[in-house]
Order: sequence, then structure tokens, then C-alpha cells
Amino acid sequence: MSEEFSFELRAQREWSWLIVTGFFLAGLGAGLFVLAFFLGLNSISVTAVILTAFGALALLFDLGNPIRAWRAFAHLRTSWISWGITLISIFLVIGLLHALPAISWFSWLPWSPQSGVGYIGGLITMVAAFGVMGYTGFVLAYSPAIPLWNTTLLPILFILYSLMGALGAMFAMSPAIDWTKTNLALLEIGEIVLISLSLVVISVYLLTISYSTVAAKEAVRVLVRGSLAIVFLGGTIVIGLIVPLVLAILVYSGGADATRAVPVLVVAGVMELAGGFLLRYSLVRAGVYVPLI
Amino acid sequence: MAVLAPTSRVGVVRLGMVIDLKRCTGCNGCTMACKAENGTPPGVFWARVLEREEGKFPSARRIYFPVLCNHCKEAPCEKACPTKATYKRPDGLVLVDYQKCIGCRACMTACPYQARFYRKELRPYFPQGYTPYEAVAYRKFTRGTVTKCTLCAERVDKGLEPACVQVCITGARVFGDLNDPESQISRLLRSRHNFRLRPELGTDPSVYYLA
Repeated sequence: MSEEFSFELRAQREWSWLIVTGFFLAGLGAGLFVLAFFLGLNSISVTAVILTAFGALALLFDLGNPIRAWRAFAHLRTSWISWGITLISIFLVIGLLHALPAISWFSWLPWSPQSGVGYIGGLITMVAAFGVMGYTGFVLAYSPAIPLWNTTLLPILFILYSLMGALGAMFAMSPAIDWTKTNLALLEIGEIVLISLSLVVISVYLLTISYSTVAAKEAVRVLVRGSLAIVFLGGTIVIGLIVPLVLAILVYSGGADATRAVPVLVVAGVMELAGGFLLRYSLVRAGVYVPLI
Repeated sequence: MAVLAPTSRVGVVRLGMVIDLKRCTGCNGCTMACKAENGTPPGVFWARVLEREEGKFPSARRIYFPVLCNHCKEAPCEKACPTKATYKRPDGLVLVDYQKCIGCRACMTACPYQARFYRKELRPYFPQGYTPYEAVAYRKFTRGTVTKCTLCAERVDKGLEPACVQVCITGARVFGDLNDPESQISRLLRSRHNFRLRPELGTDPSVYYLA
């Protein structure tokens, strides 16, 4: 008997790889921009904007009718996707304008990222960046139909992961970064704190939600013991959090010497990014609907 | 079968449906009538009957549970839609404007009743190609959009009942104005114990079930 005709618990299958890629890249770019803005690394701001642009493209390609995507601004009153397209647009346009002078081809522009106008643009982009990081969580959390997603912790987790992913991206790019101008020890402390927080939030999140409805219990079962267990436990938790945490502690306790640590940083950064992608993938795929009766 | 009065004496019409579970035999006539009336693509069942075996021998039985879009008063799909393609008519029907839908499927993850269907490409039922009926029926659809039960809006606007209601062999499905206390549907709801699906989610559905 076809699945639509049964009462069985089923997970949503409409949102998959493209949506996950879009959310991951958009959040990563936004987080990277926040990090670059605080550290004053303007060339990384450009990378951040480009990452979010690719994320937006992925979300666009997921649509059934991408040509009409301009219509999506229409429902800011209640639709989180409307907020998303608005925030991403502000982030991309103002972020690009803010960061462009950092590229030598555009240094003729009459402002710089640190100057008055450029700095204000950066602040606006920062606010939009937090919006981009958060809206991806809110789009999922809005759904009353999927208890695994319908929780306060989801937007918080996604913002946390985006900021953590920003650090991971920095580490993955470490051969190209001038570490004399950036304090590696500080970043490693940030990494240790964010990974630890993520581990705590994920544990609290899954534990509490497993005390909730039948659909939530089934979703957690799928994540921890079912078809997504290898991806979630192996990918998100071990590769994405535990190994990078161990490596971060090793680098920090070894004196945070950038010249020696670069290979370790790259490995840790790439693993953490993979884990961040797999977290969003696991949560989106494990979204089990409330049973009808 | 009663024809829906063009105006309600009470003022604001709220169209709804009552499904009598004691009468439903699980024939799926409603499933097929909906498909025939609306020409939905393969795998898309705007109206369908869920079934499950309950109990153990010697007291096992099959239960049948017709479901459809509940045309909720507080429809989460309508709120989630970024383009306002999903909209609510004043008489309570929740419909989709296929010209505005961008196929983001936010409504599909928002709907607790799994009542929405998405097809990136429209396919015919048979490998030989479109049947003459499909060729006509698919004209109203746009590829890459989300579709759902319309409570046969074009029939209702002519004063008829939805196809699933008309075809039901046991009269298990009743359609009418929930806001009219004298309508058949309101009288049924007053006389029998009834419930709605997942009301705690705040959707205020317009489909009631008689136990």
C-alpha cells in the first residue's frame, strides 16, 4: 500500500541536499563576515559574501520555479522565507559594497571598509548576517508539523554552528592567512568554547525533545540509532565536533604556534565544516511529521 | 443531495466538511472521484483514505480514515508561503495560485496533515503518453508548484458539492457552512460526538470527524 495511505510515522522528504547546502553556505558566509569584521580582515569579508551568494544560489536552484523567486519578498508579515530573501539581499548588497575596496581592483571606490561610510555599511551587514544565520533556524522551527524542528533551540543551534563554521573556514584557509596579524590563540579559545557549547546544546536539545511527542522520539531514534546514525554520530558529532575539539586543545596547549600548526588547522577546519554540513543534513532529513491521529 | 445555498443567513460563510467514521467503508470512491474531477498527476492524492489494522485475532479489524486538506482557519501553510500564492478565501477555502507559487515547499513542511503535494515535473500516468483527459486536466497545473485539495472550488462556486462528497456511497461525507446553525453539517456536529485532527497545533481546521 502506498505510503500516502498509511498511518506510519514518516519524515519529510521535500527538503534535502540543495536546501541543506543553501542553509549551510548562507550561514557560513554570514558567520565568516561577522568574524572577519571583528578581526578587521577585509579580504575574508569578500570571501564571506561570496559564500553566502553561493548559498543563495543553491536555495534558488531548489525552487520549483526559480524565475519567480522575486515574488518571495511578498510575505514579510508571517513567512520566514520572505525574511530570508530580504536579509540575504541586504547582506549581499551592502556586504559587497562594504568589502569591495579590500580588493585591489576596487580600491578606487571612495570609501574603505574602515572609513565612516564603509564601517556603517559593515555594521548593517553584521546585523543582516545574524539575521541570515538565525532565519535558517526559524524557517525550520516555524513548522508546527515537525516536532523535532519546532523548538527554541534550533535557531540558537544554527547561529552557534554558523559562527563555529566561520572559525572552521578560517582554519581551513590558514595557509592563505597572515597569522602575524591574527591572534591564533584567541581563535583557538573561541573554537574550544563554541564546540563545547555546541556539544552541550545538541545534547540538551535531543534529550529534551525526545521527552516530547511520538514524532520527536522517532526523529531522535532515527538520528541516534536508525538510518541517520552513522551520518549524525559519526559525521556531525565525532568528525564535526569531538576531533576538532581535541585538535583545538592540542594546538592551544602547544602554544598556538601558527607556523607549525597549519596542517592541523586545515584538517580540523575541514572536519568541522563537514560536521556542520552534516548536522543540518541530519536534522532536515530526520524531520518526522506529527502522526495524523 | 442538498445544494449549497448561495448566501448564508448568518452572514460570513465558513465552508467545512464532516466525515462520519461510522459510515466510511474504505471504498476509496472519494479518492478516485477527486482524481477524476481534478485530474491530479500520479502519486498526488488530494483526498485519500488511510487504513490500518488494529487489534489481534480474533478481534482484529481494519479502520479507515479519510483525510484531505483541512482548510484551516489559522492555516500554517498560508502563513509560511513567501509569495502569498497560498491564500484564504473569505468563505474559508485555502487555495493555491499556481502563477505565484515558486515551489519552495515551505507549506509542505508546515502542514501537519501532509495534505500538500509537489511535482517538479508533470508526468502522465502511462508510459505511452498523456491520455486525452490528462492533456486537458494538466493545463490548470504549473510544473514546479505545490498543489492541494481545493474543496472543488469551481463546483462549490456553482452551488454543487465537492466531488468526494457527492460520490460517497454511504453519505459519510457532508459539506456545508459551519457558521450556519441550521445547515446539515452544523446539526450533525451538535448531535454527535466529534473531533478534529491535531487541534492543539492551533490550526483551527474546518474538517470534523464523527466518532
